[in-house]
Amino acid sequence: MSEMSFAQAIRAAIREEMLRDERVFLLGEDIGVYGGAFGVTDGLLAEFGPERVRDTPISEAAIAGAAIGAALGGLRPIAEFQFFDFVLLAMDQLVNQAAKIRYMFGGTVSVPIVVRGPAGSGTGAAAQHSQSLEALFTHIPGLKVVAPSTPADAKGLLLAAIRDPNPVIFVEHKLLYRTRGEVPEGDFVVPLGQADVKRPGRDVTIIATQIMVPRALAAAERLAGEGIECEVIDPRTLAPLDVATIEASVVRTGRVIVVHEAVKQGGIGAEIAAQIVEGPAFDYLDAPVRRLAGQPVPIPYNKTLERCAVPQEDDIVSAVRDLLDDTGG
Amino acid sequence: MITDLILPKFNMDMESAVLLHWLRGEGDRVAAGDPVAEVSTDKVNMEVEATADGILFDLRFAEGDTVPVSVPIARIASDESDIAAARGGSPRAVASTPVAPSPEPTGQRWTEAGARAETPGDAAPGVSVASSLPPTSVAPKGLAPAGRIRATPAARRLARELGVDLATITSANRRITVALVGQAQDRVSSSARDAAPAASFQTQQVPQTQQAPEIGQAPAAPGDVVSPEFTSIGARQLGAASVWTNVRLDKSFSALYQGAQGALPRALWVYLVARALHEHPRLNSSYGRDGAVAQPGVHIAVEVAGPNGLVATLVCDADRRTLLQIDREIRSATSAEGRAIDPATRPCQPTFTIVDFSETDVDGVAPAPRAPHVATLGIGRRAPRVVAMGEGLRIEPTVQVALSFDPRAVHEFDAASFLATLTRLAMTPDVAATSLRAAASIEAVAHA
Repeated sequence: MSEMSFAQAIRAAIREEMLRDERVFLLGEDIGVYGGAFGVTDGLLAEFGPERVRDTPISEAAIAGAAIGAALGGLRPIAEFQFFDFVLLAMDQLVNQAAKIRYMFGGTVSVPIVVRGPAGSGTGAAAQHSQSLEALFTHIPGLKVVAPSTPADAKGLLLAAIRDPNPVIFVEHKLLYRTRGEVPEGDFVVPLGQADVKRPGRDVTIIATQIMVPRALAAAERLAGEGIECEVIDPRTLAPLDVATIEASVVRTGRVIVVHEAVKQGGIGAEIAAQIVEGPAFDYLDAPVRRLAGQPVPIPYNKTLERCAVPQEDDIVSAVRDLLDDTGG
Repeated sequence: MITDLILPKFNMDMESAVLLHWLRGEGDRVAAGDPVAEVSTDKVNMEVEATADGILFDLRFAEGDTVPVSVPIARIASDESDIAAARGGSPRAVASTPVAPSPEPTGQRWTEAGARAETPGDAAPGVSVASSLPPTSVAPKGLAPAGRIRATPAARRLARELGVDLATITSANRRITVALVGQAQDRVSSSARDAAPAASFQTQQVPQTQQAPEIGQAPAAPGDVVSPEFTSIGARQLGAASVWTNVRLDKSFSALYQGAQGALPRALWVYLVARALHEHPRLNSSYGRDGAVAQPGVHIAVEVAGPNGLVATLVCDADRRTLLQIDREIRSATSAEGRAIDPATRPCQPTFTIVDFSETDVDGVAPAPRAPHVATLGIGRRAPRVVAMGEGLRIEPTVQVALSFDPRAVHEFDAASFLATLTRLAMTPDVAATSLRAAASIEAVAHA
């Protein structure tokens, strides 16, 4: 076990896989000489050279398209988008091409790319550099979507993503980059499609993604002082979603809150809530499934408003207390 | 024009009030300032006054309801035509006073943000409004036809399991939750123990069967003192009869025998027997002064041959308990030193006994009925046995259960019918799901 930051864990995964598999290479804006806008790829150009760490022009469509083409040619590209918001410029490549090529070519070729980049708010980067767009990609058949919350999960999931023969969207929340945690040594892989119970509990199930995981855990600690035991589940992979783990928890607790940063309407919380209610866990619900999520606004530049726009730890605490009052428990 | 009449926030901390009385009624003409309703807050009773002249209509809460602040409790129409229009059209077509959140679970609500910001002394800046989740437990009036009960899925399951009628639960216009069902069940079982036999259970004389003369014992007549010979040994001398069957275990039931669940299969048997007894009151009879009488409560004694000797547990009101409650009761008894149930201190009189041989090598046991009740069930070990299924043979885990009974009170047909019910209950998917859930809960507690 060694302790490292989320950013370092991502770099470690990239580096280890590049050493292990010569087909893996990187492309993106300012990832080589500059070391990445958030320093994630720092040092990799020096170690692997310009053929395998490629600075690109400012054209997201080209980055995605080149990655797809390289993948079709047998390579394993990792395409970085300097801010995840910029994937919107590459949507045709990712949705119409990457997601569908294997299907349309009858399985004769595949597109093993990883698309990664910093997402989310809290750094004052304002409306066009702070979005949480992962839900859009969970809607596209042919794409997998991964969103880790800890350094260990980041490393393990990124290794799994690079090795996966499908296009994988790997979302990194900016505020998580500096967080630190224990990461197992060696070839430690976390399988895609598997949720993780970050904290067991019996009174309420909190399903949280990305930056909401540490907030939910902090809220759970506070609530434990009031005798309320929260179970915190991190889905880790958003598509395909591990519904079984979530259902087993809901059956035990009967109360659910889903919390994510992305805008509430059409967010991953809506999908999770619908899956819970459609399945066998429905009969064990003692209250409606609640969602805490982002307000329907572009992320404000003003620091106070930026905090107000997304759920914070206090909001999670209040919501759990309200939910327990509601159920008279 | 229609005006909403909202419950005012009479003081800074007030969050709700109880509507004590309506002072005016549907269709009454009111003038601005007229008291319309009396409400009770933490501190004092206050009157809600009409805020406009007109006709009072759409009284949204009943006396005794708890109303959140800033919520419309009724509406005032300036004239009758407005009322008809309001009824026909969308409830949003109103010129009303600025309204803070109404208890409807809809999507994003910008009015909430505005209202919260206006309230002085609110949380410090920086506290997000992203959490505004209005309670959904209070029903929006008029949403569902009268008589429909609002209860959560989990509450409905529990009520079904416990035999609690949801209509008997008062919930002050809130959705019925598991907690309320639990409270109702506690009230019922405690009153059942105190009071006369419950309405659902007929205390009835169990007539002598025709077997009696053949056994050579004079039939006990009403009013006869029970012969002291009617002990376990006495019953054997009388020739207690028995019927037995091999119960094929549902997969989930069988799985309970494995793993660390320990007493759980035993608890499940108690749970199933209790429910079967509910359907066969004759087998839940005990001999008293007047002969065998079907008992109102189902109280099951469980005898287990444990490592420390015979252990007896008593589960009172077993038909009103959940599987988990029964399991807990048995575990706490089994973990104590093995001892018989002290008649002086036990909280209820057993009406049925289960003798559990599942942890032995005995295939089956037909125990003597434990006086003074008329029937006893013996449970053998779970073992794989050959079972004919359709055209072929299968090996399935089965348990031999044998019901011994006093033939003076119970006919073989009654006994066989009871076993058939027990077998049917053991095989229902509901039981499997219940037991799985119980097992999961136990595991969760064990790992917590």
